[in-house]
Amino acid sequence: MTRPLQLLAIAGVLLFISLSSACGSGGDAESQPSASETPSSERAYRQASIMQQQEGSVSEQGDGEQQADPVAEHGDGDLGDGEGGGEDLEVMASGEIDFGHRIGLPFSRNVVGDPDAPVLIVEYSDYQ
Amino acid sequence: MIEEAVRSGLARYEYRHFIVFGAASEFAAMATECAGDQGAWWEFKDAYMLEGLARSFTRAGALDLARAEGLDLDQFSQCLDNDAHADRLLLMRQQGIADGVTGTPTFYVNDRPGARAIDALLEQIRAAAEAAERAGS
Repeated sequence: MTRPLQLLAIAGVLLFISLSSACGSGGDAESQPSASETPSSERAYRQASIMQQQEGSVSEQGDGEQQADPVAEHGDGDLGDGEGGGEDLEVMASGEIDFGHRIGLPFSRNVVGDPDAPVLIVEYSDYQ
Repeated sequence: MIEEAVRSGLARYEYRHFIVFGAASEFAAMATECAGDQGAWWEFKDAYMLEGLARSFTRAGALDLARAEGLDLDQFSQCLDNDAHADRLLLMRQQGIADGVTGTPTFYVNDRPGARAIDALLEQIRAAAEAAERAGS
């Protein structure tokens, strides 16, 4: 093989290796959540958020600050503001509703809507 | 229509369990609270309120819902077994009684008894929002 051909072959091999390496480390594309993400992966994400909140709450309580109960904040002040005992320290799951007719609305466990909304509607009901 | 008021930012909406139909309702309320621990409170509420499948009011049905929502079934089962949110349900009931609830559904708009008819209720919500705005300005 002539020298120019040898150099061309080496360049080709190097190009192949660098391309392979770039594809292999292209985790960005692989790690991006896809539009067709499954409900369970969304649930896992939400669960992770709740766990993070819980960890944050423990650390804040350890610093002497008490984590406010979002239900007490959102509610009429009677539910969860002290009468419920341990409820005060319970971290409520919260986030944004990702399904149905309430999609996109912020929620905190059994409360949905803008926490700063001027009106609170409370419904007492039985499922049956 | 309440969702319309919520979506517009006029109101926020809170659902409280007030059990009047016995053990099955109580179980469903507990299942919803247990699902709430894993961020699926509204999924369960809608499943019970909108679909209302009789099987959902059983343990097997609740587990099916939990499975469909991708919840941690061990955690969910343990929560049910331990009646983990019994205090919370009791608190809601006590609060309801204190508020004067005698039947369901019963609405309150900024602590005032809500109208039964939906149009009147929406009018009440608008009036409450206007009153809050006047008080704030």
